[in-house]
Amino acid sequence: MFKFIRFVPAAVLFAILFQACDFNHGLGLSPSKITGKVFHIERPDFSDTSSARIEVDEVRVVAAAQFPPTGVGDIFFSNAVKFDRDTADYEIIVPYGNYPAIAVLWKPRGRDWALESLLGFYGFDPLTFQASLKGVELTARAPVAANVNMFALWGFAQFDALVEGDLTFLGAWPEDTEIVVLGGFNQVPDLNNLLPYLLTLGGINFTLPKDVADAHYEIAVRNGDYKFLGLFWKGRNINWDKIRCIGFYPAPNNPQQPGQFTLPPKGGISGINFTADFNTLPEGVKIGGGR
Amino acid sequence: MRGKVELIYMKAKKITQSRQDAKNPQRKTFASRCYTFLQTAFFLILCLCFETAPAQDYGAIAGQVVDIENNQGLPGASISMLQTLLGASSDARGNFRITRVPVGNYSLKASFVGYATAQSPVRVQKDSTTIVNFVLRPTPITFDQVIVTGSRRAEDLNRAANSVNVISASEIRQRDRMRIDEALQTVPGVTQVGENVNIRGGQGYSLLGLGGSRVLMLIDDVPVLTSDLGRANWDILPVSEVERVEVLKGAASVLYGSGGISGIVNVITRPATIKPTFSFRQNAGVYTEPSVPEWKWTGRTLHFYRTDLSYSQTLGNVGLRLAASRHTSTSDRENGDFQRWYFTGKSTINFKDNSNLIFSAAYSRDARGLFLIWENQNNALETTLTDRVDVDGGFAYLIYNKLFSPVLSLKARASFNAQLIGLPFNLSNNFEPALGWGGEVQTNWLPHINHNITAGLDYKRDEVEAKYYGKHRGDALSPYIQETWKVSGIWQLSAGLRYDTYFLVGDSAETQLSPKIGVSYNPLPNTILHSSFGRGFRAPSIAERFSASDSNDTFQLANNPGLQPERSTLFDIGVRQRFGENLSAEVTAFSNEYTDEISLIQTDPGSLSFQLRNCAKSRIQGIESEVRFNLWKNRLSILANGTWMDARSLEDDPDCHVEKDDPLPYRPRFIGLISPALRLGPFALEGDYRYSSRAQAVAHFSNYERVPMKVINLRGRYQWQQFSFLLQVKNAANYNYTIVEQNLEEIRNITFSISGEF
Repeated sequence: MFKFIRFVPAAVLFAILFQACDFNHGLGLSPSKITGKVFHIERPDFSDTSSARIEVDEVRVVAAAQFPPTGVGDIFFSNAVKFDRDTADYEIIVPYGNYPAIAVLWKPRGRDWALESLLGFYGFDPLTFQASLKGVELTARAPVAANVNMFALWGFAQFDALVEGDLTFLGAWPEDTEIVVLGGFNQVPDLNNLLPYLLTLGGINFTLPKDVADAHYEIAVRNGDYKFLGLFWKGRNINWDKIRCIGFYPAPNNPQQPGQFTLPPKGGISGINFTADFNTLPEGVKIGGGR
Repeated sequence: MRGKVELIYMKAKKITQSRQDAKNPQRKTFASRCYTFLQTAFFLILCLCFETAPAQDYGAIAGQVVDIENNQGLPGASISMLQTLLGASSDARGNFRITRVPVGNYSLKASFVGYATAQSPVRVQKDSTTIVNFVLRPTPITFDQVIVTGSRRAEDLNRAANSVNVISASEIRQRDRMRIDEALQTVPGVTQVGENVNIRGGQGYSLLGLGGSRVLMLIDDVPVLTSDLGRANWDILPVSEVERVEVLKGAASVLYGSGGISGIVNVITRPATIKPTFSFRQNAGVYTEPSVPEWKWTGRTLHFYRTDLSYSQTLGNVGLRLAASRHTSTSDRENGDFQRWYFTGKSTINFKDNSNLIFSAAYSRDARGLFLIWENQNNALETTLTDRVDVDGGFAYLIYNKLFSPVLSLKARASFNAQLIGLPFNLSNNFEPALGWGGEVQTNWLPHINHNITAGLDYKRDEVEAKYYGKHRGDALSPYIQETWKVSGIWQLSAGLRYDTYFLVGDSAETQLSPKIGVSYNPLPNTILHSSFGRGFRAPSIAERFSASDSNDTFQLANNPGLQPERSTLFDIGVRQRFGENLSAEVTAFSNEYTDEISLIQTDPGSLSFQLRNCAKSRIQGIESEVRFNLWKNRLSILANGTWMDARSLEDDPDCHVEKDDPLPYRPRFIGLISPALRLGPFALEGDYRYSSRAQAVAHFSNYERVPMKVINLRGRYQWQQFSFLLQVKNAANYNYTIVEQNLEEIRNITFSISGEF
C-alpha cells in the first residue's frame, strides 16, 4: 500500500509536467500553395451522350517542379476543379520551390492522367494569343502564389481518334534540347507565327524520347480534317512562342508540301511516317558533337 | 548392418563413378556433383539410422529452475549439458527433464533471458534420476543467453562471432507489442521503412510494394519469406506465441541462404506447457485528435482492439499449443482500417529414444484498406484511394529431431508456406496462392570436445501464378557446412561455407558460394571481442523479375526477367564489456557492401512508367553502440543505444539515375533509443524515446519537407497475482513525421491492456 501511495504522486506529477511541456510537433500544415481560377472556354454540353464525346472524369491543375517532369515526384495535383461552370477555383498544396509550369489537365473516364490531356497552361491567353510558359516561385517569405489564373480550352478535349507512325531523326541532337513536341493542326500554320494557330491544334504529344535515331509515336487527336502534322523543337533558353519546326508529314506525291488526312469519330490512322532534320535548325543552335 | 550398408554404398559409388568418367572423363558438371553429394548424404544418413551405439548405461537428470526473488518457476529456461548436444527447456512451472543421459560426470548450465546463468556439476548414475535445481538471479545485464540463430544450434551469446540481439517474451509483453516487427524497435541498428525491417541500413523502400526483403524471416529456424514477393509477413504469427526473437546482424547467408543478405530475424515460438495453461491478452485503445486540427477527417472516435487467446498442455508425451487472435482497427487515417485474424497450433511428440517430432501451423487473414499516400500535406490523414486488399497467409512445418548420442544429432524438416493476395479463396481472380515447399536435413556432430560441425542440405521450391507476373516455378538447392573450434578457453573460431543454386524453370541457374569466418575472444570474464566476415546472396523473387502491369493500369511496370541476384559482403568487429553487475556496453563497427541492389526506377519521365533494375554498388558503414545500466537495487534501469551510418553509392549508374557518392534513399545517418524503466514492487513506469535523423534522400517525392523522427512512448504497468494491467501512450508528444514520402506515421494513441495466465 505504501509503495502505491509513493507511486501515484510521482505519476501524477510526471503527467502534469508532460502535459505542460510545449512540444515541437514536427510536420504541420504546408504554408506554401498555389491558388487561382480556371476559366472554362468552349465548355461542352456534358449532357451530350453522343458516341463522339469522351466522358470527362476529372479536371485538375498540375504544377511541375521541373518541365518536362523527370519523375513522378515533380508533379503536384490540385483539388478536383469543377467543370460544370464557367469559372472554378483551385488550390495546389506544394512545398517551397520553383514551379516553371502550371497547367490544366483533364482525365478521360477509364484512362490515366497524361500530359497530352492539356486544356491550358499558365501564361497562355487564347483571347490575345499570348503564349509564354510562366512559372511561380514559393519561398518562406512569399509562400503563397495567388491569382495564378488560366484558361481551359475544351476544344482540346475531344481526343477520340488516334494517329501513329514512325519518326526518323537526321543530324545531331542539340545538347540544349529541352523537348520535342508533335502537333496536329486542322489548318496549315505559319511556322514563323504559331500562336494564332493554337486553336486549330487537334492534338499534341509531349513525351517523345530524346537522343534517339528513330521513334514510334502515337498521338491522340480530335476527329476531323488534318492539314499539318509537324515535329517542333525547343531549346532550354527559348520561349515557347519561338519553337521551331524540324519536320512534317509530307504529301505522298509532293514531299515539299504537308500531307493531309481525315479521321472519323473514334477513328485511327497509322503509317504517318516522316523525317525530322536537326540540320534545318539555325547555326548556333547545335552545340556539341554528333551521335 | 552398418557394414552391409557401407559395402552397398562403396559398390554403387564405384559403378556411378566409372559411368561418369566414361562419358566425361575431363569435366564434372554441377549436376553430377550435386548427384554425387546427394548420394553421399543419403548413404551417410542410412548409416546413421542403422548405427547401433555400443551398449551403454543411461540415467536421467531432472530439476527445476526458479527465480531467487519469489521462488517462482521460470518457463522456457534453457538447460544444457556442456560439451554435449543434450539439453532441455523448462516448462511453465520451471521443471525440466533430460533423459537417456549416458552415465558419467557432466557440467549442467541453466540460462534464462534477463537472469544470470548458473552452472552445476552433475553425476549421472545408471537407471536413476539425478535431481539438480537452479536458482537464478534476475539481471538485465547478461551475455550468457542461449541463442540458436548464430550457428543453427544452441550456443552462448558470448561465444557468438556475429552481432546478435535477443528480445524476450517479457520485453514483448512489457511494451504490449502488436506485431513481431514492432518488437524490433529496441534493437540497435534496426529500423522500419514501410513494411520492411531494415538492419544496418540494408533495406530500402519500393513505392509499389515490390522489392523483396533483404532480411530473412525465420520461424523456429524455418524460412518463411513469401514465394512470390520474397517478403516477410510480420502478421503471420500473433506475438503472444513468441518465446523470443533473435536478430542476427551481418554474415548469415552461409547458414540460411538466399534472403539473409543483411541479417536474420528468427522468431522462436513458445513450447507447450506441462500443466494445462490458458492465457489471454485483451487490449483496447483510441487515437487522440491530431496535433493539427485541420487534419481531423472524421467525427468518429478512431479506435482499435486486440484479443489473444491461447491454450497449452502436455498429455503423456504429446505437448500441444493452440492460439487464436483478432486485431481490428479503424486506423487513424482514411481507408487505413483493417481486420486481422490469426490461428496457430503447435504439437510436440517426444519419443523415448531421444527423438521428437514437432508440427506447427499458422494461418492469418488480413483485410485492409490501402493508404498509399496522403491527399496533400494539408489533408495528411486523407487519401483519394478507395482500394482494399485481402491477404491470406499460412505456413506449416514438420521437424524430426533425433539425438543419436550426446555428440551426434540429426534434424529433418519439411515445410510449406502460402500467401494469397486478393479476394480470398477466389482462384479465378488476379492471383493464385503463392506456394513454397521446403525441406532440410541437418546434422550436428561434436567429433571432439572443442569442435562442433554443423552440416546440411536445404531445398526450396516456389510456385506462383498471377495476372501480373504469369506462372513460374523456381527451385533452390543448397548444401552448407560450418565448423566451430574452441581453440582455447578464450578463443573460438568458426568457419563456414554454403553453395546456393537457384533454378528458375525454363531459365538458367544462379549460383553463389557464401563463405563466413568468425572469431570471438574472451580475454577476461566480462570482455568479449567478436568479429565476422561473410558474403550474402538474395535471388530476385519471381514477382521482381516478371511483374508487369497492363495498359489500363495507372502505374506502368515493365518486367525484367534478366534481373541478377543481389550480393553482399559484410564485415563487423565489436566488443561486449560488462562492468560489474550493473553496467554493460557493446560497440560494433560494421562495413557492408552491396552489389546489384534491386531498385524501382522510373524509366519514362512525365509518365508513371517503372522497372525494377540492378543498381550501382553501394556501401554502408557505421558504428553501433548499446549501454545498459541499473541503479537503486535494480529498481531503475536504463537502456540506451545509437547507430551512426554512412550509406552511399560507390559508382555512377545512369540507368538508375545514381551518381557516385549519392546517399542511399531512406537511410538515416543516426538512429537512437533511450528507454528508462522504474520498478517499485508490482508497479512499473517506463518510457521509450526513439530518434532517427531525417533520411538523406528519398526515391520519388524529394520536394516534401522531411523532419527527424522523435517518438516518445510512455507506459505504466501493474502486476497483480497472475494478471498484468498496462496503460500505454504511444507517440505521447503527438509528433508528426514521415519515413516514407507522403505517408504520415501513426498519431498519438492510448491503449489499456489486461493479460493473464492460469
